[in-house]
Amino acid sequence: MALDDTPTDSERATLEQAEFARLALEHLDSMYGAAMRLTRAPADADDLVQDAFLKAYRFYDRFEPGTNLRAWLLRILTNTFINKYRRNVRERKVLDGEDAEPVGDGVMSRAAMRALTEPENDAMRSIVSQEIEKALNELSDEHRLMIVLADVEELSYKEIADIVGCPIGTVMSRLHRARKQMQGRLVEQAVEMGIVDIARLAPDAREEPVSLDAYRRARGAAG
Amino acid sequence: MTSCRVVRKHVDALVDGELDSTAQIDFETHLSGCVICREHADFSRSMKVANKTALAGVQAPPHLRLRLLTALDSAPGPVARPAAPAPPPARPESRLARYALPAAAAAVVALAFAAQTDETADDAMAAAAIPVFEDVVRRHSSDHPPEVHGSAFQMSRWFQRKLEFPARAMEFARPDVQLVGARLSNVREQDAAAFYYQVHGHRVTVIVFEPPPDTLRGARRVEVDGHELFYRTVHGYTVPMVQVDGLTYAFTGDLDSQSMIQLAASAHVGR
Repeated sequence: MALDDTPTDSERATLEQAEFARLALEHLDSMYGAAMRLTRAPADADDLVQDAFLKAYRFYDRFEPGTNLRAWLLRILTNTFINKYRRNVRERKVLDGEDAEPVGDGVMSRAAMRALTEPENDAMRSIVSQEIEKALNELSDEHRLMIVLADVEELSYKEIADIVGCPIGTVMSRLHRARKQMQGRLVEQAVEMGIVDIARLAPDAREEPVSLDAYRRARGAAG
Repeated sequence: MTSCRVVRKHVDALVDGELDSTAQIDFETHLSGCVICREHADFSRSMKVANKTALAGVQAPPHLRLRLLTALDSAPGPVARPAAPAPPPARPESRLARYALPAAAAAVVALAFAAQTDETADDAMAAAAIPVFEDVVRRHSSDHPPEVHGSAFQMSRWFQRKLEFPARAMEFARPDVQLVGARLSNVREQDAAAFYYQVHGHRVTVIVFEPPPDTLRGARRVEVDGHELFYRTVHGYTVPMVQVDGLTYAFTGDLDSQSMIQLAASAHVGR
């Protein structure tokens, strides 16, 4: 290409295309990872990434330099997924059921929490990792998306709200539900594997004291 | 002192680093003296880390990069790209104008980006108070129970004796929207009709009212499938309005921007 003072339109287009490809491909693993988590199938993930990538190029002049390109690409990917891939799947009903169902704080007993918090042995660590993947796949699209954006991509609530197109409060409640469901699944699995003793779950599952004073009184009474 | 209930309720925000600095200090103070809340926080933090460890690190297969570059070569160029590389247009309106693409599908896609890209600016402007839009959102958020159920026709009849204008339910050219009820409402102290719908289990409220003079101030105009709509984003809700026979129909719902605009574009006033 001749680098004279005034590049032709086609030269400029080529340069811009190369620039887009360079910047966007830096986030290819993020896009593919999110696409895999959303579609749960490598072939669909490839297609979704390609659709989103081309759409991003098509609308690239709307990207505001200096803002988070990864978040912008993930927004396009998410919209593409919602519009194209999920339209065929009749799972809204399932999702609504989950959303309608309140998730209480009492779901997790303290014994289970302790067993799962920074697990001491390798067996537990490995199970946690495997089960997290399974538990994620059992979530609805919306809830899976929350875990991917908040925990894997570590985006802020505001960025997630922009991506999903809902108020921040909705992000918070969806994320909360998504995490509770995953935690519930992990506890079930830990009990099944005998890593958390079911006998220890029962006494701790009772109503816990809600203030430090009440807690101390309860401990004093128990001791 | 921050209570255990508050700390547990917002433990997600705590581990996600989303608390403001005052709350952060209050929470840390609480945690230093409360062993149960500390267990909850440690557990949530540990789960967040475990999620990242278990789920991150997916690598795109090598063939995908090549496939993308090949596809890019034969892809149509960017939409309405300026003649020279230039900073993005300063005025959102000029951006929006470029979204008036001939193909309806493309228009909807572009619209989604427009609505979402501009949300921050919208929120900032909403803070400067657009009373009609805010009032409409408030009617939706307050989630009052319907006063009348039945068919669209029965609801219109019910309003006949109560309002100075004919309040008719919007009907939708799609089967997934259900009219569930209606009630008397008001917008800026004037009587209005509120119709409640369910769309895939999400609530959508359509408020019908005689528009005060500055109703559409600050709203964006957009055309979707030949329908003229005006919308603003207020408190995270994208609120499209349509005007028919001198009445304004405002849509608020728990759906994303694109879905709300598509929904409003698919509506017509019933007989």
